[in-house]
Amino acid sequence: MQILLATSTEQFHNREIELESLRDQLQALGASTDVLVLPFSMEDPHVLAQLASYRMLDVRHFADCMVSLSPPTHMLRHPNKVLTFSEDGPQMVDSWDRKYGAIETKPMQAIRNLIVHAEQVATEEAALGICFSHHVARRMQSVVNSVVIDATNLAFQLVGKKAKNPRLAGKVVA
Amino acid sequence: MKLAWYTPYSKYSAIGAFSREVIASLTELGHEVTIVRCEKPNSCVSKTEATHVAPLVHASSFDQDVQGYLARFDVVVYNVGNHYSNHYFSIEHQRQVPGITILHDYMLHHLLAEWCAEDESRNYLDVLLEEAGEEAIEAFHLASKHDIQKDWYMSKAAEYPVLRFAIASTLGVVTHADFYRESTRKLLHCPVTTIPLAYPHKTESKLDSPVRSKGKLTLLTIGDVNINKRCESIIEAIGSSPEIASRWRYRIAGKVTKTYGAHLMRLANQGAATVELDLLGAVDDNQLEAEMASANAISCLRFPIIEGASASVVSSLASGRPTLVSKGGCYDEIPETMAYRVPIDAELDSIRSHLNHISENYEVAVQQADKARAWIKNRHSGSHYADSFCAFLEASFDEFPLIALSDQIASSLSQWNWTSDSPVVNQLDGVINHLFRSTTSKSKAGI
Amino acid sequence: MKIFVVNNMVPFVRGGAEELSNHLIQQLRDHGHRVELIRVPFKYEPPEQIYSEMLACRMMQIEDADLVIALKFPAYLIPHPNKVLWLVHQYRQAYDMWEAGSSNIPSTPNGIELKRCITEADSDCFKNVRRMCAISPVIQQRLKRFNGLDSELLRTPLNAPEQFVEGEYGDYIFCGGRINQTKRQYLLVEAMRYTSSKCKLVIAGPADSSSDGDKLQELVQRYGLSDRVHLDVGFHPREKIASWASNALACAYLPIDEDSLGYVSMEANQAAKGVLTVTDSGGILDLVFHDETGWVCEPDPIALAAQLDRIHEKRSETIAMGKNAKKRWLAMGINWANTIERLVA
Repeated sequence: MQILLATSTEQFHNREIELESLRDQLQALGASTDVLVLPFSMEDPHVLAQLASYRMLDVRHFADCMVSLSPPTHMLRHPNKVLTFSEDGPQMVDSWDRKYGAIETKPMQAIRNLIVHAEQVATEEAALGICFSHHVARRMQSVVNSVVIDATNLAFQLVGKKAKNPRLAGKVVA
Repeated sequence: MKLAWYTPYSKYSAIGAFSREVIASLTELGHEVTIVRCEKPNSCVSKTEATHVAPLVHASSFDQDVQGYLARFDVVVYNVGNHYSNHYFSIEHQRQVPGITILHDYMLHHLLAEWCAEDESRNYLDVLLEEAGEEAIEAFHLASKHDIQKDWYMSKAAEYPVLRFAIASTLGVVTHADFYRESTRKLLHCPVTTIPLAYPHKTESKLDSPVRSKGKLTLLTIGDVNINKRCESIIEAIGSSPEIASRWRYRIAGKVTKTYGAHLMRLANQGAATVELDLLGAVDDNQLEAEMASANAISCLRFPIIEGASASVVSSLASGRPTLVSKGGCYDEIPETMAYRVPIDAELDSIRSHLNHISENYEVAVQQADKARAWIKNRHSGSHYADSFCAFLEASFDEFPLIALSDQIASSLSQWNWTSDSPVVNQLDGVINHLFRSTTSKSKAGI
Repeated sequence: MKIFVVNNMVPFVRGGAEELSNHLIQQLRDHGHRVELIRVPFKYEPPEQIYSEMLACRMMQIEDADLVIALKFPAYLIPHPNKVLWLVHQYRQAYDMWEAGSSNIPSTPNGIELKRCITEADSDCFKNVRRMCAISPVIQQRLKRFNGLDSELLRTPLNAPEQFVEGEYGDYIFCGGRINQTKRQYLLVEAMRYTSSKCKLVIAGPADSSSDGDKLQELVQRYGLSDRVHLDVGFHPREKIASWASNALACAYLPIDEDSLGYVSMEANQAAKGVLTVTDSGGILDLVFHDETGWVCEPDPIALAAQLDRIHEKRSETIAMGKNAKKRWLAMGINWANTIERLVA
């Protein structure tokens, strides 16, 4: 099984350890992995162009599964797309609000609306959402089938094997 | 909202007067508007200034840092008419900071000619070819053989509108009339809406209804005189019928050149009957008011119809005087019974018929003119304009970043000399639609 | 300095460019820079897909970088005001391979338009970079010919030079690198059957396809060379490769028209080994000078056999040739310290 791990420079530093751990575990379970890293800048006015640029790349035939580890790689197209939502704000729009929340101009609001729309499209088409907390999972459950799972067991989930430690196994949010 | 409002703002500018009306209403709605004077520095039109209804700056004062200055506004509004010097910064600054364009004329051929004269690298025919195609070039060569002003700029050019060279970066356009909304949308690919021109008709609304005098009735034409205003046709029509000539005198209140004035006077004496013609030359506001007060009907004919809206016709209808208008263009939006229509292909017959009808049924004509006065006062008010303008903005805001995005990508493609029929254009369009536009937002922005 | 290294990738396929970018990043970090790698997926089939990949790169943004070092098409189209191109690859299918009739872009009006679009985008990108470096003279020549641009030559250094040392000068000639038809290991095996000396050959490296490895094995069997030709097909750790090279009598490398000096030959020189190559091996000939730093002959088994015998029989001359090769190689100054200095200058 080939699994493509996708991440962006925007949050790459936060995810580097997670990424390496996941890659090692997947390999240990017999899956091949490769990592793509795309540039991203939250600087207005290029945000929408960048989201569209991710969308234009075709990764559908490269791997059996694609895991988006940081936004906006969830914009990439893949029939078996798995999204991960971290605890402190899974979505791009959260990053946008952190950066521009204090600036309440109409043009900024318009861009924010469009980001929200794009995220909804990208999220709804995902096969699975992996959350690292129940809080986030509850929030995401309305848009994508989400499970709560820790990083250690994400690998098991991806390759379709049961976790060795049932205490850490994924639990579907009702 | 914080708006920057680019406009000419001399005392004599009709667009300045329009802006004053709308800005006053926008301010009443709670918006913060800054007037940005857009005339070319040191041009004669920039020497006087109309009353301030909002803070005012000159665009030249921040020409070095346009983006920096305009970043403080939610929206930048650019008024654009067919005169480069009057709208210089409206054109130049919207290339840097796209905004909403209020398009006062539906084609900008004179502006294009002036714009080309500024810089040797610009060529009128290149722009014409790019925007209007080979057919326009052929028409240009044919029409410019004899009298380029008369046969091209004042006539044939109207069939080949040009806009992109000046306002291609616009995010949205407001037209004054429906007739050029589609052609504008087709040329610019952005949201376009129509809002009737707001115009201060305080003077006109003070006027009493016209009274039939014992002697001849007075037909009036107002504004600077040129062939486009069809004064020649009015004179010919009256002069061709001794009966009409005995009932009507014709007065023209507006600047006229000596040569053209002499030509009109000659024409007045060449028909079957002599036309009582008075050329008043340029008049001030008081004189104009007096002329309108004593007029029994007003002629607002135009051919070709290049204006998005006619301030004269708004004034005329608001004065309660029976009004002759051309058939077509912005005049078609006036309800059938509220004005007297003159088609260009039966111009003289039609003028004669209307003048006969008005003189024979004067009381009825005045009653109809009163209805037109009530209709126009509401439709062309500043508050109606401001309400409609804000609604347009609200409905289009989400579309603006996507237009800017398309422009940004188009600029990259053009830098690479990729053509617009490249397969990537369709693909990108699909991506943008899928990611950013929902069905509901599309219909909302289906403006 | 905050530096982004920009490369593209075909997921799950690793080649020299990946190796290069990994070492570049490590070396930049060793020189005190903060470095991140960008890996843009690249799919060149169907060819029309290339349009959107190019435009996608053009629409991306790199934030907060003092310098961008870009290596390959189309990733080098990602804009940045301070971009240095260290060109490993243009899309050759739109250039020399198109001319040679070996392009995946069809010779149809659509194909011709795609080729034009690639050239236009490349030329625009190249004229806007701060520095334009190419890893080989062949790439420089292509840039000049197809895009009308001059560039600096900045060859790729060895990735772990310290592992390649002057070892024992054993009794075998070592041929490393990927095994496939264009690297022509089969020619060496053919030559071995014509040798009169008892020289030995070690061929080791990953085969591009199983048939590439099988064919070679079959040749060894057919000519009864298994006692003198040691074939070790597969991926080997660098330490093992270095050991083979360091203890060889000489090395051999016969690629068809290689762009660069070739890692195999550079590693050989680093280990003070002369290199046997052939007249149509391209960039290798910038490193191997006949009778000075190695042996150059026609790509013919009999001519090669004569040189193999000479290498084996004139052992002291061979060793001297290797030492001279190392001296000349080091004098070229192709090392990471110089490379980093030039890239970030």
